[in-house]
Amino acid sequence: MSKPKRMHPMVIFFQVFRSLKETILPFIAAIIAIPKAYFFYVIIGLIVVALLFAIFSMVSWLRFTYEVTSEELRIESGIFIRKKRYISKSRIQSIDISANVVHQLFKLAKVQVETAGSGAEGTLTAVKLTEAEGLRRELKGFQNTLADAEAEEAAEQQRTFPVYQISKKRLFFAGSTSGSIGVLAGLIAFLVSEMEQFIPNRYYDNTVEWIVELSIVLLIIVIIVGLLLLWVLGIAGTMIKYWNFRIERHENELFITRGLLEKKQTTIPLNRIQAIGIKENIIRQPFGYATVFAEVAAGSVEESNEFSSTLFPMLKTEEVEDFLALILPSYAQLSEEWNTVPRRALTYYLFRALIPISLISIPIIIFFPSFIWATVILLLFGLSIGYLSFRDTGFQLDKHRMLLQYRKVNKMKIIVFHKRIQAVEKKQHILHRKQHLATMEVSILGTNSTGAHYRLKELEEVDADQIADWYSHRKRAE
Amino acid sequence: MRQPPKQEIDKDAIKVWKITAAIYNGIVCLLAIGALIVSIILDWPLWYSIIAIIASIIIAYVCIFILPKLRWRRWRYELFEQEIYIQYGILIMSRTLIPMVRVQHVDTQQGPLLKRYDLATVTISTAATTHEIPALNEADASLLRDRISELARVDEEDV
Repeated sequence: MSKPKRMHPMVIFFQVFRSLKETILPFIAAIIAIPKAYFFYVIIGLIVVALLFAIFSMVSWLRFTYEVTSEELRIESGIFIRKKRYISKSRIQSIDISANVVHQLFKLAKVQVETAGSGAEGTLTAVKLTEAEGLRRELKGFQNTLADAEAEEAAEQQRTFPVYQISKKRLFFAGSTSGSIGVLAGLIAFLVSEMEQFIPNRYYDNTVEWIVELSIVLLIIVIIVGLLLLWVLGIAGTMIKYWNFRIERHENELFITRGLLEKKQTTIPLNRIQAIGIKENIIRQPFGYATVFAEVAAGSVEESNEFSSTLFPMLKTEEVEDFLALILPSYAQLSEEWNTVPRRALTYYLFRALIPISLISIPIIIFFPSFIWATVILLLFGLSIGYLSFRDTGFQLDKHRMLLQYRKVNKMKIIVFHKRIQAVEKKQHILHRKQHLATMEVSILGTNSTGAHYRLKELEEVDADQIADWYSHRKRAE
Repeated sequence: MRQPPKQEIDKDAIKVWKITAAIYNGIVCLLAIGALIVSIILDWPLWYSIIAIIASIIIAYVCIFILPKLRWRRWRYELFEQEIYIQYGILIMSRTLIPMVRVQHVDTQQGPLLKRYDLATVTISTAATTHEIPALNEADASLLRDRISELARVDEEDV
């Protein structure tokens, strides 16, 4: 593959289509605004513009070439101003292959090459699927000769990699418990079912107001239907996103395929993984399910973080250990013996949980005194979240790795290696100092370039110092 | 992290902070006085601009005469072969460990005020965090910068 190549000609159509989509609005406006007599000219104008786009797209397709050399990926583009972009193989972080419906129809794929910088730095809008896979194989490895590559390829076909896949049933369940939609729907349904008691009786006394009551009922039904619809959309969204989710462990990388309408392949190099997290969503937690994700240094910007770093969307908590043992053995063997937070820290946890609750409650009490019962529920909810986060906060230290557990609303478990931690900070205010408590903050390189910071609040000061000693390179050297 | 870091920052830092605080608070005080004058001219009620003046004077007193000293007393740093250890924060005291192998770059910077007292601020950046040691004397700062960059020049293993 040492000759400069062009992408698949379909790129021209993609380009034309995209340009048209961006300029169609003024044309629609023109058709509406301009009198019928000039309609003909508008159409001609449209055709001319379309033709121009087509010519432009064709020329830019002709002028766009890519080439894989032994060292780098070379992309040259531009009609008048030539842009040459050389991406060195060793700097490539990940290669994403995706295919939308049109791509799939023509057996094509879009290839995005990312480096540590700002997201997709080399994008090939459409190449043959086989070509895309060839590119991935060539770029991810450092093999120099073709023979090497072929040997590798043959070996790859023989070798079977550890694989983890999601079942349809579980995916459906993941969808139905995803995000806040579930909570919202539940909450509203509850409110509505209780509503009757809070509508004063006098409404029933008057026949005229009975109709008002009826329209309220109608409104409520509309709201419920709307929420149900949202919920179903949520399920569909999750199903489409994670359809056939499959993660493979290769030698030096994780390989993820997923998606229904748009098939996506993502490669995560193992040495880019900064930490592994296990998230127990508060709705899923009672059912014993968790999500496994990775903090990857400099993920793609286009996709949301959750997207690119989810290693597995839905697992039974008991299966997490198996999953890690299979896919990421160095992160496996988690024990449940946590160094927890001392009893005297509980006050802080409860207090913190009550702040947002009181912010919501006070206006309710002032403006809707009849809903005072809702504030009681909120209060209980806040207190239990506070207590749970107190109970769930803890850490473990191994020789090389640290396990952190904490909860804001969802329970999080983070596994991070000593060498991945960028800095450790111990924070105390005056009360903390008197009570010998300390908050520890562990910083790692996160998916966004600002870094990820994990806080363990109000640890026993002795424990905090123990973490610091464990982290200290000076103490380790001794 | 049981023992605080050993090195103090330059004592002139207090002066610099005092001057900076005086400038900012001076502006605030002037604004408050301006509001009072406008109120007198336009015959608006005076009480709130008087409250503003009193408040800005109190805040100015705290910022100029109390905080810099406390801040200086809390600020410590220590440089080890393998890591940098800093302590800061008046109400919330923070102690941070930054391993040398994680340091990505070190900057020193100097504004006109710092220059007047031969001081400089050293900024240490890792991939995920940045840390600042304010107001070291210039020689110390460049020494620190050189040492850090020298010590940090290892470990290409990852990130």
